[in-house]
Amino acid sequence: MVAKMKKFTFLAYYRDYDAFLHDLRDLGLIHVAASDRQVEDNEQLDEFLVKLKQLREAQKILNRQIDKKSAAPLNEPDIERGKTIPREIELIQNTTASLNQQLQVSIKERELLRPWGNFDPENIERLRKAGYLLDFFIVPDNQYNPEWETTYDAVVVKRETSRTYFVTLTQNEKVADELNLESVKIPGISLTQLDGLIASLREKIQVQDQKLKALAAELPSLKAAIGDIEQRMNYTRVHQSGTSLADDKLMLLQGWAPADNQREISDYLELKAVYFDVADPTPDDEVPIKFKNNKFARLFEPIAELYMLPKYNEIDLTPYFAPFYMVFFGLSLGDVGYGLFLFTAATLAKILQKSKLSTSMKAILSLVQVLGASTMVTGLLTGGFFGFALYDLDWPIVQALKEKAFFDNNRMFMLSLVLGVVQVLFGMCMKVFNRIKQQGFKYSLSTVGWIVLLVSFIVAALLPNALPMFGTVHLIVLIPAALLIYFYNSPDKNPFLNLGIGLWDTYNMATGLLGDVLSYVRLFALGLSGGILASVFNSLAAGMSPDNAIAKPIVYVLIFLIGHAINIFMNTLGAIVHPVRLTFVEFYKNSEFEGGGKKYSPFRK
Amino acid sequence: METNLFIAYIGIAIMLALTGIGSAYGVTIVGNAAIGAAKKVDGKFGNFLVLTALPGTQGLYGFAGYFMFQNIFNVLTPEITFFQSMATLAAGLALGFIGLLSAIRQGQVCANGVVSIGQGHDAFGNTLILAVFPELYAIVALAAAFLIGSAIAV
Repeated sequence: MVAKMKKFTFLAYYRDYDAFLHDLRDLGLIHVAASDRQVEDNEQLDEFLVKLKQLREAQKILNRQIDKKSAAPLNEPDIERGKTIPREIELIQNTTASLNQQLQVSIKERELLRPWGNFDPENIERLRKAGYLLDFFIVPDNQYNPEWETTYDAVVVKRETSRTYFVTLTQNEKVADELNLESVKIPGISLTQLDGLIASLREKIQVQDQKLKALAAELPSLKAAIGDIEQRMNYTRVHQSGTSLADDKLMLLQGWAPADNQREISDYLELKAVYFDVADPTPDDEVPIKFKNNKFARLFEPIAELYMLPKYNEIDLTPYFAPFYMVFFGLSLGDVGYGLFLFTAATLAKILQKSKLSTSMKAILSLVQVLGASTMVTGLLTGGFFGFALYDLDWPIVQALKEKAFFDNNRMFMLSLVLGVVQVLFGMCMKVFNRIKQQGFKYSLSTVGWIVLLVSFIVAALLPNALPMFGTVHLIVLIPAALLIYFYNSPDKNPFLNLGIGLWDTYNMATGLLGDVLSYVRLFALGLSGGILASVFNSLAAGMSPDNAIAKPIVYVLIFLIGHAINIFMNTLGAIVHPVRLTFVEFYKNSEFEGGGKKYSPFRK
Repeated sequence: METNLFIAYIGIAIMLALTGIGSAYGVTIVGNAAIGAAKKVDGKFGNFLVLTALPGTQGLYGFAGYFMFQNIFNVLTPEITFFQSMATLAAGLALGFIGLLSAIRQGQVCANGVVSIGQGHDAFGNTLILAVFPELYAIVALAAAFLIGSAIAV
């Protein structure tokens, strides 16, 4: 069902406009209609978008910092604090980056210095002042000439990886040229100092990391800041939806609210002294859609939303496809054990996570419970239980059940087709009601003709004694039906055009119906193949486990668990998607569902 | 007769080989896309893993088909008749070709979904839904192989 809506028109003096909007937001029931001239690329909104992006980025970074094991206590949310966080993170990141750069440089220097050992560069400087130059050289071992030890006072410091590290002590400034080697530039810092520097850099980086980690405690503030920006954006959008009148002295705003809340809203607005007017929607209005279903059908609303919301004057099909969907899911999964598993898992999640679950999650879990229960019941038709045949058990109670419930493959095949015929015909009935509601009774008559025609053929085929095919009674039913189909399918047009449209409809009906009904074979195929795979995994588990008292049960359980986990995932996915397709393609098409409504989302905090 | 068994095993080989090749291609197509997309977004590897695994099921169906003929219908014995062997070959051809092409095509659907997730769209659920459609025909083929097998089972 689509909830009845009322159109609210507000008039506010331009000075009171902001106060009025705040009141409206506090009320939180009005869906504000966007005005036509709303500009999307708005400067104010752009600014908000940039901020929002920064905040989201910061949130991402901080989320990575959270240590799941030792969750630090989170600070109280503070919007102003949250807004400063992106800047703080940027500072920390910049500092860390420059520290890292310094660290890399120092590590390189240490590599350079390491072969020469630990010495004080001050001493070299003192030697230089005294007129003695110490030069550092590296040559391959085979190029090192021991004569240098006398000519240049060379001293080998180290031989490593077939290279010789040596220094020369001379008063000659051109040693390098004479040796035809390049002297190594030694950093003016000793190894001990360098080690100290690296350690301190590492420590500083650690401190920055700690700072970032500590900032993660501000996540609630960040979240609050994001919420604040989103709210302001929302407010700005609504603010711009108003139309200014009378030389910008008055603001006109239109909105929608459920008729059930009309009294509450009127009382509130009168209290706030707002001028407003309430009206019923006209056919041209784009009315937002709010579902209003009973407890059972409400569970299936998320599925209906996957496609499109109905238009305001259309019948909401959710309560009408819900029972079909439930049965189809059960048939597609088709295993009592899998159904039991889903049901138990959803029930356990509901009990154990009671306080943490959001309402939408709870509704989904309830849906899983319903679908799991349906699978347990429909699974009894084939009798699969985690791939084992339930009806092979010799218990009297099981055998009695088998007698009543068991369907072999042929009957399952027929069952899925029969369900298809039922749903397609039911869809056509919905089309009749939809047309009566939207266009009027006379426009629905040709569809009534089709339903009568199809049902009469089905009855004649099944019960030839009661209604012989093309017998007098059958013809009496057929002729008016045919007249409706061929001469009254579009009451406003002339009979010849009607005949043409009727013939075209016949062609579509003949090809479409066949395809539509055959499409329901998927229910049978999904259930069957899921059962086959489940039993294959069981045989595999039994056949592949080695003949060893300890390894046998382990391997058996492993194959069983993994196999069924894959199978449950794949089959549940299929069992969700294929009934969705049957609903949206076969059922919606035959119900002439158009859709395209916008969801009712009230302006609130 | 040996020739009959030979024909039947050719059917099994086609069934296993084509579905296996199809799945190998399918998961590779998605896997390649996933590696490319993983560079652009973090934290979506779980999604990619599920989508990459989807075209892997056809190979499983091929194996399940072989397993049915071997253990459930017990037709792969030297006593197999000509009729049974031809039925096995037919089942192998049907499941093999459908598995091969549906896995590759499904891989392409999933790969496009992966690319789209990589560009920052939240397309996981939609891809999952759309990718299950090509799968259906492999499922139907497995069911058909099962029906063929039950018709000739000893």
